[in-house]
Amino acid sequence: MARTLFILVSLLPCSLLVISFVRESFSLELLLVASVFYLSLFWYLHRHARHKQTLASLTEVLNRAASGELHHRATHTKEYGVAGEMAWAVNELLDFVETYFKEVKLCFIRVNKQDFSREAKATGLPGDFSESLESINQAILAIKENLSFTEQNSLTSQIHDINLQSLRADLFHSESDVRSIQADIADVDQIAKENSEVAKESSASIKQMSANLHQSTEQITLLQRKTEALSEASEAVFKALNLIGDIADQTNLLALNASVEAARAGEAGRGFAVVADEVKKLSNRTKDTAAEVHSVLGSLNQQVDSIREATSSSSALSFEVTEQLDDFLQLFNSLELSSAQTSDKVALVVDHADSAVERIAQVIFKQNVYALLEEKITRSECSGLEVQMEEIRAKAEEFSGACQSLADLAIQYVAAEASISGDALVDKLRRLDQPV
Amino acid sequence: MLAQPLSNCSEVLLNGDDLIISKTDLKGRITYANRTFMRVAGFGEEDLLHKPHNLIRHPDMPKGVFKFLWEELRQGHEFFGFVKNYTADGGFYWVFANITPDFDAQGNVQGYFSVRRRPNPDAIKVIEPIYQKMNEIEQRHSPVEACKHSLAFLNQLLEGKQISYERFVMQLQSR
Repeated sequence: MARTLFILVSLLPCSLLVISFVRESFSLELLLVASVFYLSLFWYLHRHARHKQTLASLTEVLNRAASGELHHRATHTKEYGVAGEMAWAVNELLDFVETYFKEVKLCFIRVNKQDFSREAKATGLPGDFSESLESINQAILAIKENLSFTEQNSLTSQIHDINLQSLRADLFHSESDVRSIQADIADVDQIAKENSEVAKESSASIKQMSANLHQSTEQITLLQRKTEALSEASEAVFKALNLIGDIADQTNLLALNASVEAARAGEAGRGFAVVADEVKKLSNRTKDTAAEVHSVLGSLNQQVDSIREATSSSSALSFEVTEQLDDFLQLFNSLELSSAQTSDKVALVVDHADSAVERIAQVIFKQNVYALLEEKITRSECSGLEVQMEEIRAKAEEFSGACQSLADLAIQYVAAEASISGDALVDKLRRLDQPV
Repeated sequence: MLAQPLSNCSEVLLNGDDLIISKTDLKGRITYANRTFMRVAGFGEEDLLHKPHNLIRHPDMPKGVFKFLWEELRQGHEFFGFVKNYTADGGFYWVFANITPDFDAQGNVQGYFSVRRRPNPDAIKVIEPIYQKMNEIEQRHSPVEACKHSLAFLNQLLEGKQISYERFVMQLQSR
């Protein structure tokens, strides 16, 4: 409609010229006016076409930029007024945008290769563009620090792994060491018990021996007394023998006197002299017999003396032996006592060793659970974990409540049954590990 | 805000927020120059478009630097460097240039994009004698051999400092 009106209006001076020509009223002024009109119209249309062209190329540049190609620009826009200014505004905006994106891209290409030397150059870019690039530089710095931290972390983690492995091996050895100590202690207990038994038996035999010895000592004392009585009796016999000797001497003297008297009496006394002689012989025989008995008794006395000596020395000896036996008895009693004490102590040590083994086993179990958790956290692929989890489930029943809860937590975490965050996991582990 | 050319043969100093941007096709012919470029160098758009970029190359610049620049771009790398350029009226200006390949949607290199910023004045004091030395070396040799020898000198210098070319210029600029 507007287009038709425009054509009609633009045809108006032309038709005016034709009409004036037909009516023969044509004038040079009219031609001049019409020419000026058409020249201005042509200039206007030409300029309009260039504006349209500039705007079209601007549209093209913007469309390409929208499709991701930021490198196109609108050129040859000099002296095209508002359209030209607009083109420059768009060009300069695209300059900033393209420079910005190039900086970001080139930085991160290097950052991806772990080269942090290429910082984004914010100089010359206005406002938000340069601020954003500065932030990116800070972020790159943070990535760099993070990377070195991660490398550090990975290193310490590797060392921790090695440590953990050797710790587990050491614990395992400690456990088996303590178990062999337990076995040795059981042997010691057995030996102590046997010692105690032997000491008991020995002290019974010594008691018996001591009793026997006491009896024999008493008998020896009795023998001693009897020997003394024998000795006393032989003294009495000596006295009696001396008396017999004296009587024999007097009888002999009497017989001598009688024979003297018989000789004086002569013939009458001859018979008496024979009797006196016989009495004399009898007294001599008596005296001889007494002397013989004296000598026999002397040797008997010697025998008795040697018996007395033997019994007294054997009495002293048996006294000594009795004392020694008493010492022995005391020794065996204290041996029995110390064996019993050893046995008690050993029982205590066995208890301690038992609890040490249990504790070490718990520590090994916990280490295994921690290792499992670590493996789950650090590795995305955990094919063997299912089997290990089953082992843990089975093993957990041997242990305390804390260990069982730990195992439950680990199994839940590994099987992702409960959605526990890392912090929550650490928190729960801490609470489980606190000494009650 | 605007950098004013002082007089003929004199230096034009860039402002901190000046960003000279130009684009070339694969043969180094200018396809776009921003208004900062035109203002600083004193050229109009029609003087620049479709002209080779070495239109503004200053004779104080060693050829070796440009040879190195093109080698880097051919390998798909970006280039950083201090460059002395001519202005239309015979003056000069120093820039810290960063030139990168431009890729089309298919990922093919279709031109080059150059951003020039105000250089660190201290850096120019360091780089100017180096360029002078490189020019002297180039003048002593045939045009074919010139670049090879001046670049060998540059590499020797960098090896002595145990630093890469890029680290060297970046450190100069950020000093």
